[in-house]
Order: sequence, then C-alpha cells, then structure tokens
Amino acid sequence: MNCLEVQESLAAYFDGEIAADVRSIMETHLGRCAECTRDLAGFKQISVMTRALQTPSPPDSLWAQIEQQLDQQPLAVSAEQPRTWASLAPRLFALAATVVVALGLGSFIYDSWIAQGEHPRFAVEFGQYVDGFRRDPIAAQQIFLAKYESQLVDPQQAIQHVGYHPAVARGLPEGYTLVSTHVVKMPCCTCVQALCKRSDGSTLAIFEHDENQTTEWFGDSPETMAACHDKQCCFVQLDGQLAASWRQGTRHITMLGVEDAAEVSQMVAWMDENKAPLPD
Amino acid sequence: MVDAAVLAGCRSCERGAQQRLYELSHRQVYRLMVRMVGLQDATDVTQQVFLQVFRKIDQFAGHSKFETWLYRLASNEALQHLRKGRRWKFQPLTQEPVSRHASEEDRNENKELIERALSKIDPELRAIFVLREIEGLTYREIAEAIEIPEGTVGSRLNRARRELQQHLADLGWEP
Repeated sequence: MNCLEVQESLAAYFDGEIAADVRSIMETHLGRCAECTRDLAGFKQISVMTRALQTPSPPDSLWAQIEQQLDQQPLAVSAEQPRTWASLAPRLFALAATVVVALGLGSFIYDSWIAQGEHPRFAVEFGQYVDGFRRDPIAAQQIFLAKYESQLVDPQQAIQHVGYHPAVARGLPEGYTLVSTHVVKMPCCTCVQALCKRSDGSTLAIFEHDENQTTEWFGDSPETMAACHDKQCCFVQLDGQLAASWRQGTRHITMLGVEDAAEVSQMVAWMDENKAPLPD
Repeated sequence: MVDAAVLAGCRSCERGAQQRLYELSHRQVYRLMVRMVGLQDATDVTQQVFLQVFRKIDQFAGHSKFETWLYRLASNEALQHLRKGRRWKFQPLTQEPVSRHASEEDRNENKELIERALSKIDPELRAIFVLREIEGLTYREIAEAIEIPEGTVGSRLNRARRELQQHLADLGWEP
C-alpha cells in the first residue's frame, strides 16, 4: 500500500471499520511512514476534542411545547376513543356541507390551475431537484425526499405501496448497483424512484410511474425521439445532463443522469428481457 | 431503548407512548441539533423532529433500528432548516457549559476552537462527523441515516476530519 491508498482508508482504519487483512497492511505502512502516522494522530486529536464537548440539557418545557403542537394539529384519530355514529353525526353533517362547498371552489381553482399548466410549484421544485442532481446527486436526493411524502422500501415489497413490482425489483444490468428504492408521492403522481450507482461511482435515478411525465417534470427543455433497442425513447436535453423516458409495459420509465443512447438501449433491452411476472 | 410497544402506541397516537418515546430519545436528538444548527435553534428544530416522528411513524417499516430512522429524520430536518435560512454556518456556542475544573483553560479553549471549526464545514459532512464521533454510529448506520452508500461514509469522514484540521489550523490551533 502506498501513502495515497492509506490516506483514502485512514478514516475507516481509525474508526475500526476496515477488514483485518487490510488493517494489518496499513499498520505495516504506518510503522514506517511518518506523514501518514501524523495524519492519524491528527484524527485522534480531533476525536478527543469533539468527544470532550458538553451539550447543555434540553429545556424542561420542550415536551409541553410538543404536546401543545400535537393538541393543535392532531395527527390522527386516537384509537383510545371509539366514537359512535350518533356522536359523530353533527360533525359529519358539517363536514359534508364543507366538502360540497370546497369541491365547487376546488373545481374552479383546479380548472384555473390546469389552464396555466399543472402543478406549477411542483415544476419549479422538480427543476431544482434536476439541477441539484447534476451537481451533487446525494444532496439533491435528500432534498427531494424531504419535500414529498416518501418511504424507503425493499424493491420486492414496493408492490404493497404501488400495486405493481417495479422493474428494479428484478435487479439491474451488470455494472449497476441499487443504492436505494423509495416510493414517492409527488403532486403529479406516485412513483417508484431507484437511485443507482454505475461501477465508476456515478449516479443514475430511475423513476417508474403510470403516466408520461416528461412535460410535467422537464417543462419545455428540448426533446428528441430516438429508437433504443425496440422502443421509441424521448431524450430530454437538460442543463449539463440528459434524461430519457419510454413506455415499459403499462407504465413509463424515466432515467435522470443518463450517459447516452447506448446506455438507454442497454437498460431497455435488459428490462424487456427481465419482464417476467414476479410472485406477489 | 424504544421498544415495539412504544412504537405501537405511537402508531395509535397514544399520548403516553409518544411521551415515552420522547423521554427515551430527546437527548440524542437535541445533542445532534445543537451541533447541527446551533444552540439558538436547537430547541425549535428538535420540536419539529418529534412532530415529524409522530406524523410519519407509520412509515417506519422496521428494516433498520428505530434510532437510525430517528437520526435520518433529525438529519433531514436539520439540513432543511439550514437550507431554508441559508444558514450553512451556525453560530457556535458562545460559552460552553462551565467545566467542573476551572483551571482547565486549555481544554476550554480547545472546545471553543472545535466548535468554531465544526460550524465552518459543510452541513452534510458535519452530520456524518457528529453521528460518528458524538453519537457513535457505525458506518452502516450512518449510511442508512444519511441515505448514502456505506462505501462513501469513510471518504466523507476523511474529508470532514481534514477540513476540521485545516479550519483548526486557520484558527491558530497547535496540536
């Protein structure tokens, strides 16, 4: 091992998160390298300083504040309080009347909204995600998931949330690793989003959704249709990156951060070859 | 430790179970928040974290430890708070809690320096570093909490520690 290799694994060595055989090799290097040993001592000093930090206690009133918020915004009907139809009837009547008024008003607002393009705020938010994805996919992913109701799922179990087995439940082509799979409820649709890594460490996001979303997600970014494997794919030229979308069975696949048409063709071919139904 | 009974009670919105969950875990959330967003905002953000916990408790599928899920919500809330206010740097504690040994001036000075250095590094690196050094999470738990590949935790900790060393040196710290 040379200095560069040791430096790359120094944190894992320091934290005891390295395999025994690699640890032994690193120890041999550290025994004769003053520079790497000095860096390791620096890690130790920072650790000691950090662990010596004291944190003041949280205020005693904090639970009372949280409880007050919970009382103001009940999260759900308590299971401790069974309610009868008789006791709920006046409230239900009032609720029904409110719903009738709200539906009329909502329909008007929705029609006006549609006239201006659907979910304009969402379009801006998704644009920010796309832009962030190009610079730092991991940070963009965190913001994206925090914005919408999302759930980390086992790809095999996603069917419980969306009613189908997503393509990634069958795995990925060679050279790709699945990092995470989330079911995300966005204003436009509920989709399955899979974050994947290529063997070179770069990131790709695969969305599976019911309807075509290219206009909703990418606005008026330039689009080009091209044949990939046996499918017509829509390529969207974004600022410094590429997205591609195509129909896969009864749903649509959209990939963000694709390299080129060859990569999309490979993915289309792989999904076509691995589309056999999975057991529910 | 938060057990299945407490979680079940929270899913049914039982106030007693919610309070129990809070009692069992609020210190660790608050500790993380003090280091992430600073003392001034730590109480508010901790409050938001617990409201999120009770709101999203049905989403905890039990694939990881509850504490890891809690750290994920807490880290996200802290990062969102910092982004909203564009407060990438927080104001470090102006005064550390008084040491029992008043003569330990050097140690107190070191504490102030590390506080200041921590406040200068990227919030995501800070979260990873605090989860490791203060909360004692393993790389796997950090990966789940921050939602990054386990293989990148080490490289980010490398970066965090080197940046801290650099900031400490800029602040005049001598090993």
